[in-house]
Amino acid sequence: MSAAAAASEAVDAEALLAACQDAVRRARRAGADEVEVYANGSRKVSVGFQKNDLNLVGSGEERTLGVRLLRDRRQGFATTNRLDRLDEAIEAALALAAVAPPDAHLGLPQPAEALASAPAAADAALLGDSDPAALARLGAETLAALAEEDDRVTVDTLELEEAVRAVAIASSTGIAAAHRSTTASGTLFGMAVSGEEVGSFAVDGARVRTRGEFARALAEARRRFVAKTTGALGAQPGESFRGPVLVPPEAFESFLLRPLVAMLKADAVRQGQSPLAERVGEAIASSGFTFWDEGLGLDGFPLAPFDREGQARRRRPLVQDGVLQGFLYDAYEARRAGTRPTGDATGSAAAAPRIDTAAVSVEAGDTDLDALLDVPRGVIMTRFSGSIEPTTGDFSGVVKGGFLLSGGERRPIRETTVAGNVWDCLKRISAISREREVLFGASALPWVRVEDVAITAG
Amino acid sequence: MRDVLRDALRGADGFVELRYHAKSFRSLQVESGRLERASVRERTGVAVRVLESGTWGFASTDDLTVAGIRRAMDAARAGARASASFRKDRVPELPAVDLARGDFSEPGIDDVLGRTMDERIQLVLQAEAQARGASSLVRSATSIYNEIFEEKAIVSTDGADVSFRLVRPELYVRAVAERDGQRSAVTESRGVTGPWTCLFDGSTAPMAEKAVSTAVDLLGAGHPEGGRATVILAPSIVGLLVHEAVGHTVEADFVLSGSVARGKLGQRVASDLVTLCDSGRSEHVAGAGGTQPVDDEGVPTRRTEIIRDGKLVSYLHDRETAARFGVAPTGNARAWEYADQPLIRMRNTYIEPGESSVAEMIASTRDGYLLDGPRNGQADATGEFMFGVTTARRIRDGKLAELVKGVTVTGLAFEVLQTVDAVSAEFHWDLGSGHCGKGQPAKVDAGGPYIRCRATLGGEQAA
Repeated sequence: MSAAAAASEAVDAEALLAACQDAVRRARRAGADEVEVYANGSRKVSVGFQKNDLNLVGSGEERTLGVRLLRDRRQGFATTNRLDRLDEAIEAALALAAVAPPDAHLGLPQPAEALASAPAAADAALLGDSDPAALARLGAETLAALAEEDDRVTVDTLELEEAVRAVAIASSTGIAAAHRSTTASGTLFGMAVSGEEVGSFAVDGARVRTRGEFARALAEARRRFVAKTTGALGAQPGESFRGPVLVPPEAFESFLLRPLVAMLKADAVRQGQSPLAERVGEAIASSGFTFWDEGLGLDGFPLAPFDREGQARRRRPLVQDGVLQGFLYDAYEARRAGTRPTGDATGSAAAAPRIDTAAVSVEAGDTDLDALLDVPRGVIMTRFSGSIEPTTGDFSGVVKGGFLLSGGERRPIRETTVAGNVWDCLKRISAISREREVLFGASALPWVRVEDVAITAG
Repeated sequence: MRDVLRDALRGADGFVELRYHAKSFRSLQVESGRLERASVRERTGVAVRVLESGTWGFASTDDLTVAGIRRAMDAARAGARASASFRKDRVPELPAVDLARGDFSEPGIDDVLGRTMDERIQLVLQAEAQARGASSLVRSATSIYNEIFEEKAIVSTDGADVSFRLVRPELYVRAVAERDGQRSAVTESRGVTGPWTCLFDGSTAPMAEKAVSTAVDLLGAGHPEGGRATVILAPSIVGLLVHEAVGHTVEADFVLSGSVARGKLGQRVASDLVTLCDSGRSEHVAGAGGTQPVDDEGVPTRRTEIIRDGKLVSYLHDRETAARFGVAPTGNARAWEYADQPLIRMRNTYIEPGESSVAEMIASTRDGYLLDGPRNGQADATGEFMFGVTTARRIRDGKLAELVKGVTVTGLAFEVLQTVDAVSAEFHWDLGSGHCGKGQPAKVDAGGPYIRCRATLGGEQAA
């Protein structure tokens, strides 16, 4: 560990764990029956570019502790970023527990039997001193390369960040775990401008664990960004028809996978909101669709081996060959459902644990991307901007930065809406690409073709 | 806290701005009679911004001592110096402006903070129970109460010396109805800056009942035919239109990047019935959710006319963009929490009310839709917008007819605003719940009168 990292208590995982254990003792003394304290710390250096120029260089360091406690089967939660106000946070959590309704199912989980041995997630170079000038240089070089590729592209914002993060958890039931990671990340946001014409905006970026990977990943993001922004120029209204939409990884995630994950959460099932309740073992999607909960992270972007409740994370299929395999459980929902937690409690210390996936993947299909796009008439949905009601599956929205494929030609379109039902769309996936993209280290996804979607031109 | 900030600034060279920001957030959520979530969150610290060698340096710290703040000042300065050579266009001298001095508070603080936690829990339990009990078709109900209390102090080397406090409660009620295997889900929400009396008028029952009745009505609703249509937009949709499709394109940082509003000052962008504003005050009706007396650069917020009688007359500025455009800052620099840098953000954005009545507007529409209840909304650099609409009611021969569902309305903002041919006198704020996102969240509000215009509806297409 470098001197800089050693000097920074905020990202010293063992020091964070000690702070959690101290907080557990204090809360017990204050009258809590059971206590869990989760902490996260970060040290960041960032540079921000606006309008193709450097705007601001920033730095910051912070620790946050979240206290979840039970008293008489009533739960309270409070969080603070000031360790000198930890006792006040404990009092606030106790005060909340005092007036919260009791719940016989409440109880903190026991320690996980064994945590997976996860690959190291911290890069020695990033653990050392961050150099704002080096980050600013990388940003300036990115903008220069972008201008050279296509001077019609204008960058509204480019944000680059190097960060060290640590998390720790301790509980009165014996959980004690800590983990440290590093990230280098960058996000490009902007559009292409040609004369009087302003193209649809686009976003792209990269998130990696090591400084050594960063420049290459950012360059790939830059190339995608140029293609998206310039591709949207010259857009004209499309055509109205029912037909296939061709969905790239980014839109696949927001359009189909987020609603699916929302309805796979065990609390949505218990509350009667999920249409997937009692459908484990049934086909809910096309037979080629296999969807993984990548609890331990994707290749090259490992995650902490424990979740927000200290439970073991793992890799498991949620949908296999179109058939629903199971739901996402935290400790509470697992207890109510009579099963085991799946390691899907997520969130930071600033909020009580929630159920969600930390990373996901969809298995690659057997269709080349060129073949997937080979349709008599269809729309490439580069980005979906709209509303989706997961409970019903109904969606409607606008295709952003999209293209109409018709008669072997491809042209950019605007003011084109799509409407339908997510659950129907999952069953109408007719092709999945061999090619996959990794999005911000959190999802590895192919393209998909979805048949019979209502497409309306403005 | 201003004393500590003044001490930390003593002897500082150049431009330094210190912002103390203490934020507490209470959140309660009830589902099916169970308190699912209850939390209290506090986050407090000081942000330092320096202008050094023509560029900005920023650092944040949760160490509230003079020594801790000075360390952050050193870090901000060092970062700016180290990277200044990469800045091509140096930040100009900031415009002279009467920066705020003194202490200000928005209304409602004593009322909201004086409530016990038990009162808050009973409120959210009651709202959920009202929704669940409103119809046998309700499959599930949810209610959420959030409350933000903020204290800020801003002291700068060029004269800002101000503190203020405000409170923003918000309430959501969501109902999922089901009949014959068909489901519909509707959320009613409201968020204000001010007391509970602004949030709900005596009882949460009307809000819960409206969520349920709409969800039940939508069970039997069909889909609209897609295409161009005459639409009357309710204040909730007007709010989305002015915020998403106009407001973002006139944020001066976005204008400099090439938004569709660039170069259009003085040009006609709307019908002459349209005067569109953004204000830090709650104009016309109390409680607007984006209200704050001073922005995060210490500039007093004020009413800014963006479009006057159909012509674009102003962008929204912070101090830096005001200097670049040679105008006065409009008080739009806002930061979400202490560790965030101020960005140009809207406050309360609206269209000024007109003279028509809603009844007249409907009666004079031969074929169209009345759109109400935003589900979400986004807009583009091009001014192209997309709003999901909860309820769309057909208008046939001047009369309200059947409901349709799954409606999306889209268009190019300045083209749609040119088609406005009627503006009501009735005015509401209706976007105070939730957040606007632009790298960091912001509490904003938007609204206005009912307006009639032409836009594109997304809907079903025959095979």
